[in-house]
Amino acid sequence: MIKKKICMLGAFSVGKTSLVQKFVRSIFSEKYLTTVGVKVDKKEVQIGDQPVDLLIWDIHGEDITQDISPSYLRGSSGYILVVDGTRRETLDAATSIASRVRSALGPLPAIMLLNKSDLEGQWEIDDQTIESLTRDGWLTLKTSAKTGMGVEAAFQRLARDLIAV
Amino acid sequence: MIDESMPQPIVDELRRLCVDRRHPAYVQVAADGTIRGQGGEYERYGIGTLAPDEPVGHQLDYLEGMLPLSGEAVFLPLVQVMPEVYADLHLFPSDDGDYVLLLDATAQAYHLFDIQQNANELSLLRRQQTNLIAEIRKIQGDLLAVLNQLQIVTAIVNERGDLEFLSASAERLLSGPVAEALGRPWERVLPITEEDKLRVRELLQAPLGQRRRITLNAVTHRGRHFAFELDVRDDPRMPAKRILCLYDVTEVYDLRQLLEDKARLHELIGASDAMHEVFQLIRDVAAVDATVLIEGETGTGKELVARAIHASSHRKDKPLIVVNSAGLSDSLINSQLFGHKKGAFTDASSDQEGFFEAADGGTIFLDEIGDIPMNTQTRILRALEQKEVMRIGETKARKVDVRIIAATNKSLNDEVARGNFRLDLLYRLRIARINLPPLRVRTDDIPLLVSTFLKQSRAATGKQIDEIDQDAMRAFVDYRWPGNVRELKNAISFAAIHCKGPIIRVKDLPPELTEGPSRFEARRDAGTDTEKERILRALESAGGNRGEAARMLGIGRATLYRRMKACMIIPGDLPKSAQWKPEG
Repeated sequence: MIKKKICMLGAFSVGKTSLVQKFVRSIFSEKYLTTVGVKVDKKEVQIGDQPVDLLIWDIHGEDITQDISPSYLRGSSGYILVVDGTRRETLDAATSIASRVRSALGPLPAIMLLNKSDLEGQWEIDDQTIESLTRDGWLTLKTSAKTGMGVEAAFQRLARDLIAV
Repeated sequence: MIDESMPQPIVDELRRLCVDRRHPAYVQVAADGTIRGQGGEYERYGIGTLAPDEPVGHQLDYLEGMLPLSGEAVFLPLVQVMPEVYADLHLFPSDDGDYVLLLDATAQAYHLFDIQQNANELSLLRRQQTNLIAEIRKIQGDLLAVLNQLQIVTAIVNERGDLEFLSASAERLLSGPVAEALGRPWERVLPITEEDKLRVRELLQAPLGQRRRITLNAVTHRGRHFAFELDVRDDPRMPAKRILCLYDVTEVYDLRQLLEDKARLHELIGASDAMHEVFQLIRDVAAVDATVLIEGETGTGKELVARAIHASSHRKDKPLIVVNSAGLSDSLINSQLFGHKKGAFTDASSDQEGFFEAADGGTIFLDEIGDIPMNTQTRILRALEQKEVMRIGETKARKVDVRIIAATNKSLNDEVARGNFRLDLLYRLRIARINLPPLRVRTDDIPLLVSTFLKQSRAATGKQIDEIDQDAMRAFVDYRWPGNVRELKNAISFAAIHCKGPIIRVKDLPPELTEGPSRFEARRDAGTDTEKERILRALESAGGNRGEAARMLGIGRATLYRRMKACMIIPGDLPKSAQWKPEG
């Protein structure tokens, strides 16, 4: 069995834990509970004939008081950057984290999730910005942990990229 | 139990943790990633008994990818190793190439959770607050932009009368920036008349239900004129404050003024084609000095036409003398028109100039010219031809420069045929002729006249009457108005007196309007006996006052005399209380 460690990264309250909960347990809670430290979850995905165990490190969100410890990233095969579409500043946080991850681990398979697409009417990130991210080499996907939209596809896509490396 | 065979720094750390009453556990891992041994309270961390040589990843997922280490120890703080259990993980390399994972349970996570949760929630709330403030500012900006676009001046006045808010659209009214007006009393800021300020003050103090929209006139310090309609509302946040909405109606006002100006010539009012023709004739004859004959039914405004001609002519700064000769004796009218010398007749106690002399340089208006005696007609003809008059009892003629305007409701041709009027005087008088249409042929003017007279009644009675309902207006339009505009004016006065609210209704109108024109006609056509009764009733009601009786009948005083004469009414026809002293 192939095991792959991936990290969920992003600013606080962007929905990292909710995405993992939805992906691993198919549950969603409206209540916001901050993540302290790191929670490790596991889910097997099937990529073609190949089962892959994804070890998902759900790392606390970054804010002005705490940066992500580089030791959490150790051994990671890829990562998911999560952005809250309703908060423009979480995109800036995500790109800043991505830059640090690249410095620490070099280029790794990654995907950027533009989360909370169920609230797209309130989004502060427009199509032009998304096109610009694509031009910069980012694979972006719109997701909603609440409705489940794009969640499975996002993890599947990253897993596929991981085994393709 | 601590395995003393482990490297000394690890044994020391385990001892320290045990002394601190912590509950450490450890797992020894071979360089190839298989289990070499375990110790401490590993069950606390969700670790069961590990089989020797078992791959470390079987139970300890979080070590996946961590090994091998490149030399230095790795510290993983606050890892949730099982539900509700957090541990700090230390991964040490040992000298023999193995690794030791040290797990140290920590309660710090729970304290951190509370702090972090509060901090994050606060941060999110602050963001929401910032967004809301931005949204409110945007809405406020949009609202102001709309207000400015709509040219609505909006102000908030506090209980002291000071301006707390003033929209940017007010700037065109002010002598300085809007910001400088804030905090000052509205009365010192708004450039409106003292009379308008009084009305606004009353409006600000009136309860909500009694407030009405009023029109204000403002003149800025640059001399620009604005007309506004003002609405005063309570501030929903603080009922002691008032919101003033000033709607710019200058354009409408100016247009209305233009229309009113077009529909008015001095005191004459009318927008109908017939009246516009009259207005044009007045302007034409005013430009020359010719004698004018004004013909028209009683109450059509013959005297107003004469006044308009005089006021539009070059003689406007000189006197206009109005003479109504109806009911006057031959000798009295001669004396009045031409004056007399002392001793010329019994009561002539001093020299007296006549109206012709008094009007020198100006205009004399001879109303009811058809009723003037032949003898007087001859004297008028002389005054016209020679431009001179001779006082009674005098032989010396006096030069006068007087324009004569005459008026009649009779057919002077008929009077000539009957031998009552001099043909040569008629020719002399009707060099210019103006025929005034009766009101019944220009019903289009009735709403305009009603509105004008209503405004005058409001000012006279002080009653706040705003409008006339449709049925009442229909009655005004349908009626035949034998007394013409004068009768209409009196009918409005009657209705204004009887009206109890802000709207004149049919019940407030004089009875003849609601009894129907056919009935009126029947009465009119019934002959002089009926007219005699009507005149007598009016005289009785007026206590013998002929002017008042004429007003009640909707006819002029001169017409009343003429009709009284035609009906052969004598003082004895009336009860004593209403008897009058005949003149002349």
